[in-house]
Amino acid sequence: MIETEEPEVLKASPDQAIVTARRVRKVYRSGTEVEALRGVDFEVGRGEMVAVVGPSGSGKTTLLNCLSGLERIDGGQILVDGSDLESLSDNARTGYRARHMGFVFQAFNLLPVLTAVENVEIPLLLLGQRPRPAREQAMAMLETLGLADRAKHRPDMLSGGEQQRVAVARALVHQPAIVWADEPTGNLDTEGTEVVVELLVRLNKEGQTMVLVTHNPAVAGRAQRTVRMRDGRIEGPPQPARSTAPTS
Amino acid sequence: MKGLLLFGGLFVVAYLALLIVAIRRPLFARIAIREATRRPWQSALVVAGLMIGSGAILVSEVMQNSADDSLTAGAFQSWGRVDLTVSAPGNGYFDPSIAQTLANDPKLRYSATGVQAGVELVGSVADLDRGTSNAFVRVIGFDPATQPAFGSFRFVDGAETAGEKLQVGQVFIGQSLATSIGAKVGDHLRVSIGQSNGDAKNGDLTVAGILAPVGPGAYGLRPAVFAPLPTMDGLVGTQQINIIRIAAPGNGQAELDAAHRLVPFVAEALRTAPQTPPLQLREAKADDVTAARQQQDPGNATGGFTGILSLIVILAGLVLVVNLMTTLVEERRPRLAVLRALGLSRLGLIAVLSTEGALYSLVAAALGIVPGLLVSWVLVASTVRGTGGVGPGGGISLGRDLPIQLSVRPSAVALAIAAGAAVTLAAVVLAAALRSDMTIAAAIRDLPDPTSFKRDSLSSRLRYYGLAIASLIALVLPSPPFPEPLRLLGGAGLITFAALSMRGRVPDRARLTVAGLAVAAWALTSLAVAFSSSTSQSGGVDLFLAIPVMALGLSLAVVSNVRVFERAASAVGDASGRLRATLRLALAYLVRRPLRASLTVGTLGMVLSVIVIYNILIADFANQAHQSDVRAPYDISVFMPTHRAMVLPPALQAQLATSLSIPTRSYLGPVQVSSPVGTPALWHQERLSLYELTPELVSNPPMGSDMTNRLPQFPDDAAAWRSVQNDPGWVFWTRFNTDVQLTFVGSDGSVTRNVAGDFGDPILDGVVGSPQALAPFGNLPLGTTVLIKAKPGVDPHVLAAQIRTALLPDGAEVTAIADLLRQRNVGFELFASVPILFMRMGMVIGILSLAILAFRAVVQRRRAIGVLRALGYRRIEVVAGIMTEATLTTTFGVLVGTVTGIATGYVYLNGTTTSTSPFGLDLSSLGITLALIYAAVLLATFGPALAAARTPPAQALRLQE
Repeated sequence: MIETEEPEVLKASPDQAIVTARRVRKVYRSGTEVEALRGVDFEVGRGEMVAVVGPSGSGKTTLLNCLSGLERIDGGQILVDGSDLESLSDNARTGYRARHMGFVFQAFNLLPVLTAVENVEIPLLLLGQRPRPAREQAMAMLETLGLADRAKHRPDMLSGGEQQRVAVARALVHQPAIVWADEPTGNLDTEGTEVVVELLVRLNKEGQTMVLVTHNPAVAGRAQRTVRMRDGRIEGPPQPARSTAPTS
Repeated sequence: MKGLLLFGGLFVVAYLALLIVAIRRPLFARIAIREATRRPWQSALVVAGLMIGSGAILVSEVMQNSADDSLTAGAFQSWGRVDLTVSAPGNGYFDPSIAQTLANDPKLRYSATGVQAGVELVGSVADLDRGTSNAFVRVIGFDPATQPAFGSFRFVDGAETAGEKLQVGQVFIGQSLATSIGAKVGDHLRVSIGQSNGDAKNGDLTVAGILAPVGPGAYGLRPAVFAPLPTMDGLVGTQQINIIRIAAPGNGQAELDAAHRLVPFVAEALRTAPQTPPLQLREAKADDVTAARQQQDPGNATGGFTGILSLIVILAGLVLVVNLMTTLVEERRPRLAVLRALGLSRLGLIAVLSTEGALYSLVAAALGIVPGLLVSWVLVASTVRGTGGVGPGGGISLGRDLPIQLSVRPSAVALAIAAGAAVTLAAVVLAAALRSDMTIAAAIRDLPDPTSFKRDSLSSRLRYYGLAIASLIALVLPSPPFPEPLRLLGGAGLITFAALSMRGRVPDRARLTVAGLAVAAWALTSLAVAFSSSTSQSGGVDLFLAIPVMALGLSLAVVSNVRVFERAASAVGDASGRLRATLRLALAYLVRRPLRASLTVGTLGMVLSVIVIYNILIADFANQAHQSDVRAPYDISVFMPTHRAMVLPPALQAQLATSLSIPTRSYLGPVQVSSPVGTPALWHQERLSLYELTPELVSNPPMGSDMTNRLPQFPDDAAAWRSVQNDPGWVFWTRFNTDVQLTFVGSDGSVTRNVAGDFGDPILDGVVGSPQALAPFGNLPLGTTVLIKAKPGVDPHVLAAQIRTALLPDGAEVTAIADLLRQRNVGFELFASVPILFMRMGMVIGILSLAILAFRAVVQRRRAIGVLRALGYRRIEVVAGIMTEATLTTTFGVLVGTVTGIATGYVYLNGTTTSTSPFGLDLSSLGITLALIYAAVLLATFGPALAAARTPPAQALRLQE
């Protein structure tokens, strides 16, 4: 079910920006037109952790959705690892997401019918990995995040922090090129927030590229770079990507 | 069997494909199974909704099989062991030695199990001890010596005999005759045998036994008298016979096959026998059985119409399935979107949903058998009641004992499961495919899809243009293999395409209203054109297509204008803010999802419309009957099948104002009914009265000259009358459907007559033709039908009783015409009760649809209800809101169903009849139906509404399920 088409551009050199957005426009039409993104230029370097902040309605989540290919754009261009997402078919973009991206949502969005480990192994199974190694890899990821003893629990048996850590495990288990996190601590208490943020920072230090949208200045402060949005635009001068990935 | 192969094949292919997907992608199967088993009660509800598919298919199959098997069993039973018959043209007599010649033929002696000489005549019977009579009786002469080969007669008390102890003058009578005249053993009967010249031969006989309708006691069309040949000699004055009966070995189909193999032997024996007149050899039982199997019996003339309407119930069930699955997918939209975000392709998502749907469909298909069987049982039981039951006196106009039985064949159950699962799965896949097209980012947050999303995608464009091209082809090029009624769908498709094309350019409300009304108008116009220009069969398909298309079109138009009600609610709301809030919420849900609301309204509407159509048909029939009552110029009908003239005592004659005599011949034999004309038809045994169109009858028809049905080729009633008078090829037939051709066997062979129409006459039950048209039947017994108008002040019932007494020895059937009309009404209502009951079962689908959607709505809106409760909604307002929504949906469905039913019913009546009775509805019956619908809907939605109201706000507000 995963598109096997592999864009050539993915073989771009590691010191390039992994995500490049140029003059991205996004318009919502529902009776009246709302321009959610008004020509946004944005880059994310390999291994970078970027926080996108701004008031409600500023376009943070829309930017993240567009960059990750969850939504189509109405103008401009988005290159992920050199690949123009807009030029890909829905199936190709789906396959691209499955291979190279991970997602963490504010509401956790774990599948309630599956246990923690089953949730974590979803991306591996979608990539066609065989069940046994997928399960082992998912367990290993949960162990890494300190959730091995909660592996057989379903989401409704886990705390909010635990659910979000499972979501992080699901986002990372297939070693994506980039993880998108939309308000990853939005539904967590202080303690839970601290645990999840520490985890994200740790993973970033290990080389994981991350873009997170947050309202929380403390969380944004832990990122290497903060981008501020207002009215569909990024405030301030364009910021170049800072690639921190080790070169081979 | 073709259906089983088709759907069985589809079932195997579909489930095999899903099995392969499940094996290759265990994740899909895991998610599907977990979703299906996570909330057993909710899954049970879904399964309950999906059970309709297999249940409805099983009901349809069982009804069809039961009818087939009952008719077939009736045909087998009515011939007993008799397989082949040998008779002279025109039912003439011939030498009994021919029977002996056949019996002695070496090949037949070896291959046949019996050969019997016999006499079969039509007569009337009067029970002189009871003062009762039956005017149309088969008088069957048999040879006790050869009877054992044809089985023993069984008396009603269980004793058996071959009739060898019967003395001359003693006869057996069938149970149905005994019941109709109240005869007992020992009663004295006056039997009159008709002659072609109208001079009856009479004989007094004694009842020696009453036969149960089994074995030879069920032989022939009833009612019947069984007399040994010596008794028949005395009755008809000749030792000659007019039939030879031949029995073949075996039972059932093997017996028919064996009989078929006997045919050349018998033909050869007849050819070589000395001094044999030209004789006709018939595979009588095989002909009748085949006709019964193929539902050629005119007693089943409206079967096709009912079948078409039954399909609408199944269609309504499928709409429910699509609606239900759409609701289910929407409820899970956020988590399905997460899967899409994680890399699950749209096809993969459809596979996940289809796998889950396949589980539901399979379980539902299997469980649907139970309600299907229950409904079938109720319907078959009603059919038994409607046709007069299986006991003596039952069996309607078929003229034979009809052992109505519930036939549940393993193949029907297999077909119901396979077709139910396959068709339901197809609906599930369709719903999954439609709802899987989502904006992932919006769906994750459970927000509506942005409107800019879908319009420009290539797949959307392909779909739109595919729809346009397919519709255009259906509209412009309806030629085989594409049937003409596809024009209707083609036009509806083009209107849909136009409406889709205007999306974003025209306000939605105007766009959907115009599109809905245009589709409905197109469906109605197509139906009207179909009925005015084509045959009944084609019109039937149009009716099947027009009802759902029109109902769905109107539903869309109505639902798009719910805001009108919202304004009304606002006006009410000025008086009560809370009421306004309650109503607004209910309306908002209907407005927000017009397509889904349209499907629910359409489901209700299409089933109700069928009920309305039946209601119109019954009302029309009642109106016709009333008109007949009003205009009937006669009070009493006297039928004397064996006497060419009625002779009354002067005292009675003095009470008559006027009378009209119609020469009437009684036909009993093979008949072919070809409808529409040219369709191959099968022979079956039937009895018919042939009324001769005399100048007196032409100038003064018993019910006036207005016709209730007429072939469209006749511009007016007068033209039809002229043709029947002047052209021997045309006749009237009181069982006229449309476009019918009758073929009988006359004295010189087959005679074919086209039916011009009928004039709704309950008195003359049979074929009416000119003397030239009926000339080939001049050898048949001549009788008379006398219509009498009593003098003012004379009570017709009293006069009828007096005439009955006076004419008893002649076996006359004397009936007050008011009673005849009443009997006809009762008969029609009983006949119509079966399809009406079926439609009421269909209405259960509509109500179930609302109940299930109410349940799903409660689940889906859990959070919204929590918010409302948190904001200050009281429990009663939550209950009121949900029930108001259901009531409004029902009201819209009632509106749509009533309009659709009246419009299509009007077009149907106008297209198939030339009834002059005023168009009307049986309002009391419709009112009761609607009251029951509302009561059921309120009852069905109260539970989920209460459950929603009782959910604590905090629990409902929990973000994570």
